[in-house]
Amino acid sequence: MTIHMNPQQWLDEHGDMLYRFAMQRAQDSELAADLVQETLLSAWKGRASFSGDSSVRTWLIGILKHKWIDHLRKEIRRREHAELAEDDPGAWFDANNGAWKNHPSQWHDDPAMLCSDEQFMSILGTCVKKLPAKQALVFEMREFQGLDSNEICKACDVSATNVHVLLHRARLGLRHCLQKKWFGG
Amino acid sequence: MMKHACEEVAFLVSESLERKLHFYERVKMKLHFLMCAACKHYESNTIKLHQIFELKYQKSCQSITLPQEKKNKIRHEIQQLISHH
Repeated sequence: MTIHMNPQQWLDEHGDMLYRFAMQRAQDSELAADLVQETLLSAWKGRASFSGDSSVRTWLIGILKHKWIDHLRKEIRRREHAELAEDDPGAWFDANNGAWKNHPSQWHDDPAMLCSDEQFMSILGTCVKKLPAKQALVFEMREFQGLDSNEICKACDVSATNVHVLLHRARLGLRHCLQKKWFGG
Repeated sequence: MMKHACEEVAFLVSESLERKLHFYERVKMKLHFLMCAACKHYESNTIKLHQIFELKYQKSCQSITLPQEKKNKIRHEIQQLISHH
């Protein structure tokens, strides 16, 4: 077992993979490197909990996922100070007839093209950050991390229904923000 | 048209990315699209947005590596931690 329990070796063998995983989520090299460091240090401190049933790689990724969720939780608390009113669910639809207040228009651009357009991605990032904290958190877990609703429920202590409502509101908010800032209208 | 139809359909659009919709939900949504271009566009926009994240997530920037100076710093931190035990 001692052969596997060498954090320097973990860094050599899995450091790049962990960093890529963190970068995908954090989109910030400083933060990503910090997450990798915390992951390796925690892994070593908690080495007794490594059962050997999974590979070291899987075990490390699991720890990194927790670190990332912890980070998001701290972020949510930080942002909640600045934000007293969670958005009004009625913001997008007319209260009387339930029709769109601001009609969605057709977006013609190709997702693959948009995805590699740095300017667009930066606007998209800004729009995600502007969402109410809880929506942003749940949305990031779903779309950046690829977690499914069940995993999000567990991580955030929110019911499945709530997760779905938060995702729905996040999508409405993002659509609106992108329409204003990118697609025009 | 029923009251709050667009709001309900927008929720179903989001739900369709989270779970398989029931048959009656799909019918309700598709029928609504026939008479409401705004919701049809909303569906298309929402799916595009989802695809953008999927693409970005899958691409995962294979060439990215942990910069050497960061690696050295982490190596140092690990050394510190181990030597305290």
